[in-house]
Amino acid sequence: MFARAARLVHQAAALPKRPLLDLANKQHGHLRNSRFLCYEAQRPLVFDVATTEEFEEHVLRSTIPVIVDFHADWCGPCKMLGPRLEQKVQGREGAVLMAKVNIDEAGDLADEFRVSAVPTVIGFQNGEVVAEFQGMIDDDQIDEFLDQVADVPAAEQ
Amino acid sequence: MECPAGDKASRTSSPGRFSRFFTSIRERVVARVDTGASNRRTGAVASTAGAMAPRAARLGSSAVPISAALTTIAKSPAAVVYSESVQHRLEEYVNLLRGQEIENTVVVHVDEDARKDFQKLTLRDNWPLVYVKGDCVGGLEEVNKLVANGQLKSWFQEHQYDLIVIGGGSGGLAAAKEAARLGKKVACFDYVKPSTQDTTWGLGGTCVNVGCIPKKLMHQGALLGGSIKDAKKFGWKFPEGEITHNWKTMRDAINDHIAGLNWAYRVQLREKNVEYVNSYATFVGPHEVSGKNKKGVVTNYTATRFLVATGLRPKFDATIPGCKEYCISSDDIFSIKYSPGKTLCVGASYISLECAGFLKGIGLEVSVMVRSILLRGFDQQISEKIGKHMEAYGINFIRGCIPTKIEQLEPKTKTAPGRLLVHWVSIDAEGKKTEHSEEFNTVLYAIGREPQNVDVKTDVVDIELAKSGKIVARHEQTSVPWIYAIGDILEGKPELTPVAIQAGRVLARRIFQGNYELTEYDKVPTTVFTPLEYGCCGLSEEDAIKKYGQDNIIVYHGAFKPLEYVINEDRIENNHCYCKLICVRNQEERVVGYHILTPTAGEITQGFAIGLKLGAKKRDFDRLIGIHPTVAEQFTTLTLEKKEGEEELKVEGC
Repeated sequence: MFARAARLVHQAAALPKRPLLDLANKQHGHLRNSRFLCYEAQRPLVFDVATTEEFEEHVLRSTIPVIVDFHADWCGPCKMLGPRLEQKVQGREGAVLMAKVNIDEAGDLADEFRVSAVPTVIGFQNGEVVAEFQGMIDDDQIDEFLDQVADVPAAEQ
Repeated sequence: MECPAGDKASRTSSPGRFSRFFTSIRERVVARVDTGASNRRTGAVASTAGAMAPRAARLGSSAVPISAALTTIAKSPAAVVYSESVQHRLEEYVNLLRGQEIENTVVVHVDEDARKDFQKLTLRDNWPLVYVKGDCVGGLEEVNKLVANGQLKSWFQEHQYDLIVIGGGSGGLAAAKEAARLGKKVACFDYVKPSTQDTTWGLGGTCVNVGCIPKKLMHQGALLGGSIKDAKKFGWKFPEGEITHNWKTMRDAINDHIAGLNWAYRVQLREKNVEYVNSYATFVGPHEVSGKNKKGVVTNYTATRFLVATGLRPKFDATIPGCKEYCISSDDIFSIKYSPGKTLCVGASYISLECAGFLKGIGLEVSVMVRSILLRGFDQQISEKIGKHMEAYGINFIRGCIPTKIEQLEPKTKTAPGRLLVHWVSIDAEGKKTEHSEEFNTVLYAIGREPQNVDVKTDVVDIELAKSGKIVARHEQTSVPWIYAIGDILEGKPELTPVAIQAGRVLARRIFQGNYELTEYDKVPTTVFTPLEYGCCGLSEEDAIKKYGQDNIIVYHGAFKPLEYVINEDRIENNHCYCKLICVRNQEERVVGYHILTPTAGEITQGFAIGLKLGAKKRDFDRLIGIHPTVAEQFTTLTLEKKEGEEELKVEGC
């Protein structure tokens, strides 16, 4: 978990135009988007989920849309897709969150969602599946997918 | 259907009795339609014992074909199979079962010929023959034993599953999936106890994790090194400098693939509705297993039937100091993260030779220590040729010895194998002993494999084991009638993945559907993936001589050079490729043994094996026209007869 947090900070720092959002610090008055004042905003944008309980709390009960990346260490396409998804999610600045589920460590979760191939990415809104894809997709398709999950109206795309 | 007590002689036509009689006819008609009778025999597939009044018996109980009998048995709570010669004993059997409150015991009448089929199918002489819930029990004695120890009662209790498979390897998974396909409720327990070096792995068993799959991939990795040398002679340009091999790259790629397979099997079980329990199962009752997983969660499941497919693990020699503590086995070699370095393979099994082969192929220094002969059980002429090839390949053979002690000079770390000092004694022709010792980075023990399932023989179930610890069975049925066994754990059968898979599927269909199907364990083709591969099917020359007599055997053979290798004169394989067909003279030279030592022997042998299965004669091989240029075509033009005491065959020009 710490390595992940470290990586996220590093990634965020590497993105030149986007200010580093200190979501944990409520004292920042100049947070741009009021959505961040709700309690989910205290979590990082990208986080690991390993148990059914964590999934229920941080994905199903999240008021912000969440995409769940089911991945595995031994899966080549996962290793390529994962970082690109994370970057894109960071770019949405809190409009959508990302949960990462390692299917070898969280086999029960993978079984529950009948994940058969990896990577499988499922988008949730208010506890319901709104979009899903399997395998590698290109950047444009990732944008479309995130638009769908974050409910961005067609005109804005 | 109710069986009214003791009214066999009654012919009163009370309505109740009439309706039973007519139901009985309806059953018989339906049953006849079901079996699609090409057999013109009429009538009763079975009648419930109670309705078998003398009148019904006269009308209905003609003998039925065995296929119909087996299907009925598979569906009945209990069945007694008989033929006319033992009809007089039927009552005793039926009464015994009825006395145990087994409703709807069915009697199945077959003819005397079918009796032989039943004996072949069950490997039991009892007649009449009793089945309980589709499992063959035997005769009165066996049933009485089950009554006495209360196991008959627990057999008839409600169980959660139709089948629990213990062992998620090649055999277990195949059987579980087939049973689920037939609509049965199945659970599969799989748990890997760590190796002596603490290695574990996921679902899929030995073949997927520490056997066939990684072995073949590493064998391929090693062979590619040789191909690079060939490539240069064919004009490919390589950058200057030595071409080296990185162990970790190969190891990671292979292990990622295996992890993908572990996952795929999990998904498959889920999709086919087999419940997967990642726990070590032990019998806690005649129909109950208990398993505790890594997190300490205990699962207790009951089932009508069980299948033990727990396989084998590498043997070590506890009498040799340092053997278990410092040596690795095939459980470890495929996943170690650092190169094994200079390696000693102890053992003459195909595991030892295959591992030695690919380790040498990727550029390591390798020795093989052999107590006596190579590849016991395989054709010895070919086995010695393999040894000669491996020596020419650069592997050092230490023959006629075993280690006496293994000392650790430097422990292994996370990134390096450490150093071991191996001591052994050699004895020359005069009996003089010499002590030797040599340093190695890794010692791999491959002296055989043994069962490690002591838990199947407990107070609650007493499964008969052979001296080897393997399970003794009658066509996969253990000494406990509702417990079956397949795969490597089964005594007397080839230890091969495809054998286990076939056995699993055939068994599921036989016990759940009553199919008249047995696994054919003979003429199973196989291949040893040493650097020069050895494919074979049927008998070795020694076994053929033993079975048919030296004078009745004729061997046709040939030595050859694969065309792909002629450009590179350094290819040592050019002096070692060989093949032979072993034929029986007085059976029109029927081919009983097929052997080939060549690259890609596995791919070649598979096809020819069908010929042996169909009883091909030498002249059939001669009628067949070869594909040119291949190595396999050798078998279509074998004319040289092997003679005793002649010189080793040399390759001739094309």
